[in-house]
Amino acid sequence: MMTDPSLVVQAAWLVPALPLLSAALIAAFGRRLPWHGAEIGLLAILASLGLSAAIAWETFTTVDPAPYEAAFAWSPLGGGFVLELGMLVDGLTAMMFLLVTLVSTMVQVYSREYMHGEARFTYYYAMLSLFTFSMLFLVISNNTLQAVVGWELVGLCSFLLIGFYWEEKSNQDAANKAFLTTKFGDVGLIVGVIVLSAGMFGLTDTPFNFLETIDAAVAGQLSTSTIVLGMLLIFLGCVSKSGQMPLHVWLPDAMAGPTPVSALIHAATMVTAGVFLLARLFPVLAQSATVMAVIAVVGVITLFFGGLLALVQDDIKKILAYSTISQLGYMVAAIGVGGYTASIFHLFTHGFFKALLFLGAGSLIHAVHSNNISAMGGMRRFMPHTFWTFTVGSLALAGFPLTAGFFSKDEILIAGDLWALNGLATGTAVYWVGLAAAFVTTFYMARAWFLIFFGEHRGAPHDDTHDDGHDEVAHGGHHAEPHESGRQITVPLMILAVLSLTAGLIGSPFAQERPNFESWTSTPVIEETTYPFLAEFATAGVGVSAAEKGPSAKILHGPPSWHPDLLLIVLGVFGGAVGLAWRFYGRGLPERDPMLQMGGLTRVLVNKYGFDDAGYRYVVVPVRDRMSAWATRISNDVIDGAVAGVGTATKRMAQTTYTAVDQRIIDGGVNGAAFSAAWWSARLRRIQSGDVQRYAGALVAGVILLVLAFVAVR
Amino acid sequence: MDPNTAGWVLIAALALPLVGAALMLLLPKDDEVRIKRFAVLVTGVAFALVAAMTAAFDYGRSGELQFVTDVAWIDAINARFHLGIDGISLPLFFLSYLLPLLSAIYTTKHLPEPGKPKAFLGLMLLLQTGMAGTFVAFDLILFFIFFELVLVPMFFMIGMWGGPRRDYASVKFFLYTLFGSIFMLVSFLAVYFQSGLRSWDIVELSNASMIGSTTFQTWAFLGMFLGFAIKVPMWPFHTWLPDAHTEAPTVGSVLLAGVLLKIGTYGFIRIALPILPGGAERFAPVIGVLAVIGIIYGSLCCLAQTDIKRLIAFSSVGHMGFVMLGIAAMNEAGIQAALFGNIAHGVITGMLFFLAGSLHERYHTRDMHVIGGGMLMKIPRYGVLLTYVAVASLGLPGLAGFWGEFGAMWAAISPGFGLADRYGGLYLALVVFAAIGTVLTAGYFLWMLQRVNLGRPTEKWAGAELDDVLRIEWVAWTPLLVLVLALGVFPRLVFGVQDAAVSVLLRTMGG
Amino acid sequence: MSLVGPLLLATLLFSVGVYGIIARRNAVLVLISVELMLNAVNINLVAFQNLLFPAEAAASGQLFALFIIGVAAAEVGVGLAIVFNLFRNRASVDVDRVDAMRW
Repeated sequence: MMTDPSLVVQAAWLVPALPLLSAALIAAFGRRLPWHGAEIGLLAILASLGLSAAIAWETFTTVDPAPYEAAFAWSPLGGGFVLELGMLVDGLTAMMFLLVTLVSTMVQVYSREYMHGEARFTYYYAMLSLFTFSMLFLVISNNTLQAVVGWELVGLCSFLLIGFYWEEKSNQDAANKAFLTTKFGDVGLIVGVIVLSAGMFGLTDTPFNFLETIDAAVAGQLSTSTIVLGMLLIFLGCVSKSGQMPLHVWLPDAMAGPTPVSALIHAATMVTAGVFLLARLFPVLAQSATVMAVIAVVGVITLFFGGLLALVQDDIKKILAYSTISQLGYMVAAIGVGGYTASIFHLFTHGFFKALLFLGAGSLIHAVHSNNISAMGGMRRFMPHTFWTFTVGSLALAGFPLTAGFFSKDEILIAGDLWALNGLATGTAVYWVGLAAAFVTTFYMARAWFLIFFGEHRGAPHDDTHDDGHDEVAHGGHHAEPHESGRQITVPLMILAVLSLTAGLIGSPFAQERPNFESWTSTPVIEETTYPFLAEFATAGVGVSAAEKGPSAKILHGPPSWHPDLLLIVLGVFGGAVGLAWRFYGRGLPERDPMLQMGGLTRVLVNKYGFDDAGYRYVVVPVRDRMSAWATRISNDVIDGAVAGVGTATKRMAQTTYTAVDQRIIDGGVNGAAFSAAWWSARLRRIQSGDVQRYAGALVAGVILLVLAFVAVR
Repeated sequence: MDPNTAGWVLIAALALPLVGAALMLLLPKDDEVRIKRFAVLVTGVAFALVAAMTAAFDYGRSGELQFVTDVAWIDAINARFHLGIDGISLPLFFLSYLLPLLSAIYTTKHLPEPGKPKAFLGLMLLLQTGMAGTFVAFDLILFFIFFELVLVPMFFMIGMWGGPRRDYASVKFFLYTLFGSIFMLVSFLAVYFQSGLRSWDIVELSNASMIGSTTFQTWAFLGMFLGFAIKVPMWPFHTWLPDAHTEAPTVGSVLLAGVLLKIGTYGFIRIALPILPGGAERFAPVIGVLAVIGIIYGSLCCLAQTDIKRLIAFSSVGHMGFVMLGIAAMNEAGIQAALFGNIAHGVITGMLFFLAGSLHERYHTRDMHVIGGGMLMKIPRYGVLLTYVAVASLGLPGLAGFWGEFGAMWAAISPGFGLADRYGGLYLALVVFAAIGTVLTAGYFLWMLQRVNLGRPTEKWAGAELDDVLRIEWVAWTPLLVLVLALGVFPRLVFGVQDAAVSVLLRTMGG
Repeated sequence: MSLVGPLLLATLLFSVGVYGIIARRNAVLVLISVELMLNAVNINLVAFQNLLFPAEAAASGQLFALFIIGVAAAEVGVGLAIVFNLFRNRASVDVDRVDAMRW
């Protein structure tokens, strides 16, 4: 317990409570208000943001932060077990609070203009508030079951918002796909939570409690099978929620929702839930080498192959969606190599720049009425604010030195490098694949950036019926001049851009002294975590506390020191990728399909640099065209096909079960019993002829038979 | 009223609908308005009485019987007139007074064909006494009488006011249940003679040490199992249910799903388990397997339906599977979850049947293909309600459906009575498959919503005049809608009341 | 005293009665055949009484025979009433045609 927790920390429950209240109020009164309910949502989220900032400051500056836990018995569950409704406020909670409320605030401000004139504007704001509440409820929870509640509510809200334009079948399908795919993962989550809690029976009355579970796991009171089974199942939930392969398929489709919702889903309220839960239970999963290895492998696969998929996309939102999958892969992989701090640090910075990128994309889409980058081009002239903010976001995503993304991604790579010193191959994989994927990331972001902002404006096939409320002058049937969005869109972009540049500093080598990101969110967790499968830790019992590479420090702890070698590598990767993108897309592309145009450009390059030719033919082409196409194909055909196949098979099985088994066999048996009774009675009743003499005859015959029988027996 | 002495209140609450039904016979047949109002009045007064009882109930001692009446009744066979309420009975008892009131209110607007409100409402009142009686009877003979009393009015409700295949459905319902109850009665008799107590008293028999040998218990349990499992209904005894639900009038479906099915699970918990713990222990894995088959199977069948009412009926098979899984866990958490699931299913599925009935009133079809979508656009409030209740039914946390499902799975991970040691792996598999069942459940409900609610109205309906939710429907539905949320947010409302009573129950089982 | 004579007589009477019941179509003759059978039983009762308990004052065999005669009289009364009603409704007392109680 924190000694004398301050008032703001004790009031942390207000952070989720306010959006919940606002959701109810908007639903009840929103329609009648001048801003159609947006004012309530904004007011509530601003209050939550203020409180979150205060909590963040409080926990950030506290020298020896210990979690503050407060709970009351929500309900008895039988057998003396109690379900708590409680809050657990530590650095991780405070960090998530800040991220979620900040991004939500930006999205709500932004949506006022972006969603202006929508028929279901009020409903939209109510859902945004509910979405924010669900995520905050998950974040604040002090036990796994409460987290499950928040987790599922998040899923529902995402379903409702992805299917926001429910008139169209494709959007309904996308919403259903998102809900069902994540629900499939929830099977793992729920069973995992149950398995983990079963391990706590006999130890406590509150078997779902996070801190008690962690203590028990660290003290070795949970059996290995409980930990492995429980955490792997919970990880399955995280795989689906956080868009890890192979359950990432819902994420690109989820772009069917309004763009601000995509920002919310990708930056703050949905996909981060899985990583958050892994972080919350980190000391538990760190008990098992198997669990950590599985997590790391899934993360590595996702971060690389997810990124490749973005290369061939034309839809800006899809590019960003695949980049989210890839970045989540980094976070998950980091968890798997002991990079707890690195993972949540990346979660933190990624939230800002991914929100920025999505909102920027929304601004572009708003202007050109198309999602396709092939329909954009030269946008920097029309939309200067969007241009520079989007540039900042892209740089941060690509990990350009000194942006937020640079510090966090580097920390993940360092964590992998250190983990490799333990003799575990997953660390090496994270380091090298992570570097390769950084190259890919930079390349596709640069491609998008060039195609969107440079060259000639190509224009979308214009939809004249679309009236977005702007007094646009029609340009004689040809494409209209796009123009910069209003202030309610650009100001959130600028705020997020500033944060994307600066938010990384608190976890950077500039902040070696506490308080910094690591002391804020991670110290107690890392101090407590044991890694029983590592020989040194089994004896020492606690983690090491040095950031330097070396035999004594194989787990990342503390902010990274400067690594000039890595800095150089990263710079090289960045430069190489941007340079390559510039080669392909930098000249401005008049044709829609850059891949076809690439042929001529490639020949020029081949003639100029023989080395490039080989690299292109044997590295770039296979990677960019074939492998990504394969990856797309596997994603679309194999995995998606499997999902669809399971659906179809289930439907067919359902049909068979119903018609053949249920109606024919089982119900047939029931009916058969009744019908055979009727059949027999129809025959037996013929004996009753009503003829008295026949009865008498039968009687006599019976008597004679009886007598004969009697005699015979005697 | 003092719950320790006021046994007469319970008798009054039970007698009120019966007296109301008798008085209703005196009303002129043609004065439909007055008949309907009278039914609302009777059920309203009865509900008020039960609400007062609920308020006066001593929650500190919810493990003990309150409002007790225990007098000699049929001396020749030692049957006693033993009534009482404890924490297990109270929520179900409450529900069996709430739903008839709402049904009576709903009937003032939607009287099923061919009219005859006097007969219809009279039967409903009779049904109410039967339903409520089963939950408070503590004598096996008395319980059996109430148990059978329920059949007759429901048979006529389906048979006279039902859909096109009403004759088939009503006879099937009646015979199927009767078939099971015969075996149940035989088991009751066997227990009576084997125990040596010469008593039908449920409390006494529960407290008695192991009755008969394990073999005896197994056979006796089999008899009770048949009686109760058909009532639940458990797979593969469920086929009467979709027919009965599909053909029954709206109010009949509501009461059938809302209260009648609960009698089966209540019987397991109140009678079969505590009186025959040895048999229950042997049967528990079987029950668990059948329950989980029911979950998966019910969901699969739902996916194949086009009739919305039949879909909801099949969903009951799945939901009651979760309840039975809780019972199969044979521990406190499992019984708690089963009872919670009971209440939640009663509220949610009752509400779903109300909605399906009103859907039929508007579209004159229940075929989802004919409706063809766009309801959210055509009658938005109604569409929102359907979404809300469907989401509750698929087990979203924060709404009533979640706690029963989760609790059952949670309890089944560590079943009681040493089952964890012998069948630990089986039970783990059951939990996993039950969890997969939740995905299928989500699947068919989302699919249903997509086909009915979303999209644009088809040409057939685009120009049609359809009423959104009527005022009388709001009145009849609001209590249920509130309960769906309240039970989800405050599971303590049910868990807390039952806690002590379930502990007592488990103690009598020796667990 | 030998039992052969009375028993032979009783058997003959009984058989005649059984034949009458099964073979005759006229309801009145059927009733008469029933009487024959009853009287065959009476003869048996009296005969066995005399053989087994000749000294007993209670003479229960004879008592039974008297009872049977009384009951038979009542039975014939009811039977004839039914036959009369049958005749009135059907204008026939043929038992073959009376099968309204059939399934």
